[in-house]
Amino acid sequence: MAELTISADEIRTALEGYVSSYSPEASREEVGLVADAGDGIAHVEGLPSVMTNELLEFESGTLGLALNLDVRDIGVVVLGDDSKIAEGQQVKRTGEILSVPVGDAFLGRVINPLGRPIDGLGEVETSERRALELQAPSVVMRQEVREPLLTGIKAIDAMTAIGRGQRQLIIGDRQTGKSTVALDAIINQRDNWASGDPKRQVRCIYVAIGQKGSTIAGARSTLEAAGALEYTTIVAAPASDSAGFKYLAPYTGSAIGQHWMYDGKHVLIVFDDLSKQAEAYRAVSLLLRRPPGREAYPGDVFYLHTRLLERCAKLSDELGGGSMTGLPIIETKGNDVSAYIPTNVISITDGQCFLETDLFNAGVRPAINVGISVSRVGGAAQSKAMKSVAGRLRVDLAQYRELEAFAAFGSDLDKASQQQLRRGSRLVELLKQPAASPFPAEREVVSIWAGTTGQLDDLEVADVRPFEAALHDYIAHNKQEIFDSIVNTGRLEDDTIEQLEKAVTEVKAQFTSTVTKKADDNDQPKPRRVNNVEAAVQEDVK
Amino acid sequence: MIHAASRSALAELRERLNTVLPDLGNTLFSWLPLVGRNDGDRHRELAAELYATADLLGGQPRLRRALGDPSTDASARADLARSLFNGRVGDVALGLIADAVALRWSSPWDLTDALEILADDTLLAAAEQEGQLDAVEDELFRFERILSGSGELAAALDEAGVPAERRIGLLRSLLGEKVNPITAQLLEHAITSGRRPTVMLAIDDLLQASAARRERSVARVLSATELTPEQTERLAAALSRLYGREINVRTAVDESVRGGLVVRVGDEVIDGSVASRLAAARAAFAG
Repeated sequence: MAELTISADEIRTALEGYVSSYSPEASREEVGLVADAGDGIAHVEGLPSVMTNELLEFESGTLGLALNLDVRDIGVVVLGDDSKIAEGQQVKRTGEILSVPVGDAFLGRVINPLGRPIDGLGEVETSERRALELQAPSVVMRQEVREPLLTGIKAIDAMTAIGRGQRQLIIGDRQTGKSTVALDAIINQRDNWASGDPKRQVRCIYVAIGQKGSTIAGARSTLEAAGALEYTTIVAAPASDSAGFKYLAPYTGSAIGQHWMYDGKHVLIVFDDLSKQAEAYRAVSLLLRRPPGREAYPGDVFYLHTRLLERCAKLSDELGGGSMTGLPIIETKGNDVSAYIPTNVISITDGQCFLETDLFNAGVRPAINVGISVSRVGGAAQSKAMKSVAGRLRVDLAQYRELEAFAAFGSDLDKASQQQLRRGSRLVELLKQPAASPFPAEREVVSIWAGTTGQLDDLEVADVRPFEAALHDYIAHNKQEIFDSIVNTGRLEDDTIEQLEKAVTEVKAQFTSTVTKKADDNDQPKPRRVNNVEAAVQEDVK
Repeated sequence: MIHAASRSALAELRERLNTVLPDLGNTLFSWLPLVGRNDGDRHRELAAELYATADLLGGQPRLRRALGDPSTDASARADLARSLFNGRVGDVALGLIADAVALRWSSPWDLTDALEILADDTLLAAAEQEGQLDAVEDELFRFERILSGSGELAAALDEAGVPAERRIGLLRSLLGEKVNPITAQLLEHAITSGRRPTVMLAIDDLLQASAARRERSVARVLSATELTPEQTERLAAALSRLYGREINVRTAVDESVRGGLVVRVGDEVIDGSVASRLAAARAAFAG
């Protein structure tokens, strides 16, 4: 029996001949066949060289994304209309890993998750593309988050400050003003943009996932009216889009932002909202028959959000020092932050602003719950001036909340407690702010200073905001040097404080209360609350 | 084939093949003017037809599902297969295909796989008839050793993106006239079939099928030096005693074992090599 032997030389020669005889034929194309299609998912047989995340083209021209590479077929998410896809149709490879065009031409535009404009303003002309799935910057490519990114919202800038490159979660029930907070943050970048200084300018991206078309149009017109659209890109995957689009939209926005970030520019990206993206991904995964886990989300739903949010970063100076700040939004149900997706995203982000329905309905807007809102970057990303005035704010408010609950039972309070209640109610009033009216940093500092140093304690609660406006106007017209000093030095110097105190006295002298003077005890919530409680008890008894 | 329905269907189909094969040379083709053709050629023709049918089903999802759909009427499926393949394949192949289609399979892919297994069996039976089964098995084993020694070659043969003809061309340029035509046919199909992800696994299946034909198991033995025939015999006897059935010993030289033997029977490895003892000693010192 002759043994089969093939020497290494023979193998090498055969392989050489095999490789050299290869001549790529331009016309040669791999084709696959649709085995089944439905619910925005298609299974394709054939196409042995397909890559994961590669775009495939169906006969109808619709694109698909190869997500599952199984032994004998490929699970494809159909991007767009799947009604014309039928069994047996041919599928072609495009050879392209999913990528989107990027560049400054996208500013002011509304695009879909494939980077195509949907605002009717013509094509977006760009020369560069960026792959959607690229690894986040590594540890050595980053640096600490120190520069502030001001939202123009007093409550946030004073207590849960956001730095450039930070990921700050905005979480709350439906209709608590989550999107408004994010849009305000975008609008507040207008002055930075107008300054023309690339170190200050922040390019903004608003990713709208699974929202009503009308809501997205509303957000666009809000931004346009505020003059914020010229530095903003809107990536829209409205509720009517297929699940594939909703799953991809945040990555598209992030790719556009990363391009700017690696270019040394500053970016603010808002994901509104990631719960809808998780739901879309759940739909896709279940249809692809991936095993469901908790709340039927697939096993990699955590990675879905980590890999997205890790791409927000502050790059090192060697890499240009660009940054991408992320404001992911998560919608809770019944204020339950311990559900699966909220806990996941809370653990990924560098802090969260928790918005509450009760506060919102009580007229505290933005309805930020100071107690459980935090920023893990916090003070490092605040200016010295803000840090010096806002230090006590959180403590004062926390004590006020505690005392307020206590005072509701009508027990007699000592002078110190009454003073705390008085201060607290004025601080709460001071932190209220209407939508789309961000405050410049120096005005925020002046307001918070006035509140925390007790300058407002002798005013009626209803007078707090009119007085604040009057004070700002007075300083702007007569004592501009106060604002200038805060802006230029970034500190609140002792002589500035003196000037401020003088200004307050002068404004108070001219200020006429908007409230008709009833009685001083209007300031003391105690008796009225007691009556309320008594009335409620009597109601109950009846 | 994991599912019970497919397993029992395959067993049934194999029985039919076994009844058909002995007649292949006599009755069915006796009236054909096949001068100069022997039984082996007919076996190889039948296998080629079965392989081709399996390839066709693999590439045509709709046909595969129409033929492998257990919810439809079995006779209607068989009629469809007959009308489709009549005149295109030989009578024996047509009968087997129709039988296969009429059986109940857990998934349409199992039907495709079964046709391939049937073709493998046909080729091994031909080898057995010619008294070449041992040689074919040995050649398969040698080729598996060559592949495991040259990762580049294995990768080139496994590359699914390259057209099958090119990979077969590579295989032919390597094997030339060195092997039995049956081995060549088995290997050519093994590298193009999608049943197993790699050629090595496909050859593994073939080796098992060949051993199962002789109601034996295969022991693959790696040693640092060539074993003498007496040593091999003693090893075969010892292993047969250990496993309680006939064991076919296939030996290969691998210097990395240093000394001693590494014996693999099915999923079990008996590692008596010096290399593994050295590794164990190193681990003990390191610990």
